[in-house]
Amino acid sequence: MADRSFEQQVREELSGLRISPDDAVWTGIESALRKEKKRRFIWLLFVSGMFAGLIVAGYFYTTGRQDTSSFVKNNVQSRNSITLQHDSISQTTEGISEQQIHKEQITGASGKEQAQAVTTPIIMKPSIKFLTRKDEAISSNGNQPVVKGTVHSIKTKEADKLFSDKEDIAVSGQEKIVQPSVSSVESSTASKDSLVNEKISALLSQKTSDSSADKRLAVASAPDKKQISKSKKWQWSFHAAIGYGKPVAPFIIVRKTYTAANNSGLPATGGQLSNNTAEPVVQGKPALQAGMEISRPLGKKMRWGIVLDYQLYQTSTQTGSRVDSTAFFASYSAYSNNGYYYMLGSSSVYRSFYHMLYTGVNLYRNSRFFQLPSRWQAGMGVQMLVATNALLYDVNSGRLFSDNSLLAKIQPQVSLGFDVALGKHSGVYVGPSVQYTVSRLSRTGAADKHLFFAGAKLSWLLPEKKKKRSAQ
Amino acid sequence: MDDQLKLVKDCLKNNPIAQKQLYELFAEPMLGVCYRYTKSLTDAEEVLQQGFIKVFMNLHQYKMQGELGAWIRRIMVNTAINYLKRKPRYQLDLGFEDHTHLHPVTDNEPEMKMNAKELLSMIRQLPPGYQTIFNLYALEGYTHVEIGKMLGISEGTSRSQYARARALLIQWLEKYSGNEKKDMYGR
Repeated sequence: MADRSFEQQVREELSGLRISPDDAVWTGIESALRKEKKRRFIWLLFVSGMFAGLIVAGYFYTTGRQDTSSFVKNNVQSRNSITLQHDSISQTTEGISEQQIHKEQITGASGKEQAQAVTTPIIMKPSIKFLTRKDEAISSNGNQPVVKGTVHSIKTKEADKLFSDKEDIAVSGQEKIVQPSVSSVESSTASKDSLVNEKISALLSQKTSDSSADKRLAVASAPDKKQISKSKKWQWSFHAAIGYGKPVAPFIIVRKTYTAANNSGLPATGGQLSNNTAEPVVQGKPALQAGMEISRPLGKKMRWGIVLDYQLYQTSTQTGSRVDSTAFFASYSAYSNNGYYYMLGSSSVYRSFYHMLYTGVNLYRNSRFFQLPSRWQAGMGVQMLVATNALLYDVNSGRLFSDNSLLAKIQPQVSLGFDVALGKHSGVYVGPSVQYTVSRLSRTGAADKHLFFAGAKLSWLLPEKKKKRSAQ
Repeated sequence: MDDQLKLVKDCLKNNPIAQKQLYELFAEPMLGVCYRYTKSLTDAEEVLQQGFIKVFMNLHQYKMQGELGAWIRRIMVNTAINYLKRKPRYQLDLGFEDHTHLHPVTDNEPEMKMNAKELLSMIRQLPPGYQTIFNLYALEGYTHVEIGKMLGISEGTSRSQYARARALLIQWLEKYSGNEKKDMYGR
């Protein structure tokens, strides 16, 4: 030993130290790897599901926007066509002066729109609209045209007859392709137009005396509705809820008593559980939720939406003394123990936090509540515990211990709610909400306890994204 | 070496047979490492288990260069230190205060050579702070700067703790040698 340093001697003595481990070590490693593999798979599934949901929602959202912009383009075209028709009818009913007014409307449009108005063929339904002098095409909300005033609808046969002489109208099946030419706009005094004027004047004087003609009068909005055949609206909303969450006795699914499969030999604490009725007192505490949702109409009175929530629950548990569990749990690898456990008792209070993610589908039914818009809501989805410091109670051993085995496990959740808007045109809704989660948050007593939440929910609905298509 | 690389590649494919082979190859020496840091064989086995789980989870980080055993050993040492920090019974004595008392160990000793067994027994009877620093410096070859960073203490504390641990061990070894001689000569 004298020739070598102390460290060198120690290193040489202990370098070849080999100790055979117990077979249980490999069993523990194997089960942990299996569990991790499963956990990763669930996470992957969850994340990819969320990702897919966002992609789908984003797709519909952006598609809606594109359709809106294409609708605006179409709307400009149809507005021009209306003006063109207006122009031609004005000639017949009011003469040159009116025609000049409407000509100003056309020339007042941008050059591009005017060019479209002149050159783009427009497909129209057989029912052709004619606007009187009071008519004006206006845009009420930026992109949806509302035509005010009286609109005369002339049956196809009459229209065919009326326009039979016009070269720029082609009849194809039930549809008429109107190809307005430059001359139809600019040469208001052209001979063809004067012929049309005469025919329309004769027709109108004949029809206005006939009471049955009124039946053929159409409201301007009706053709517009045809033109805007489908309106699918996506709507984003944000919500938050505050309330009270508590583990309760299950009333949906009754599970059998919890027994740790790998810990059947776990020694009990003593006489405390002789009648198997003792259990720690667990109290619910304030709970919080926040999230977002994207929804769309489902029929006239219904909506459905995809929701993503963060949920925080708390409970307080009465416990006894804290005990170092290093030696105790060394042989029970099924527990992911943090180095301590609590005895059953009431000397201290332990606060457990449960951080969860929830995703699901909500169904709404619109109704009225004292003249205010209101919604009934039913939801269904899955919840996942992502972090917790909770103590779980093992009824067999009578000990409270930390256990991460619930992490990343999918748990079904159902919810019901009702909320009322804070005004007739408000996007803010308030109302009660209840949720029930088939969870194993607590293992106290003879069976698992499920999670119940009751609270008030505040929702803020953003303006709808409109998806509109013009009829072909 | 090539066999080990093949084994690693198979483990990366989540081949359970390869994982078992890798475990069997390194379990015994690694338990020897874990045993030096803990006070009981059960604790050492728990560290070994946690360490091997980390090894398999992070095997993709092994760059296929250098000795696989050294890489696994580093993981085991880090796992042992984290284990000591986390466990209350070790935490109490990881304050690196001036301990002079012996720390009790369990009687569950594995079979090994006499000298090594005695030496190991003495190292394990050191207070956890001394024991950890002695292991890291004398056996693993870490510098005091590295030890300070690993344990969250200053370099000076590591030095002084090591010096005390070393002095204590030498004192015990001398005492042990003296007793042996006494027995030999019947005095």
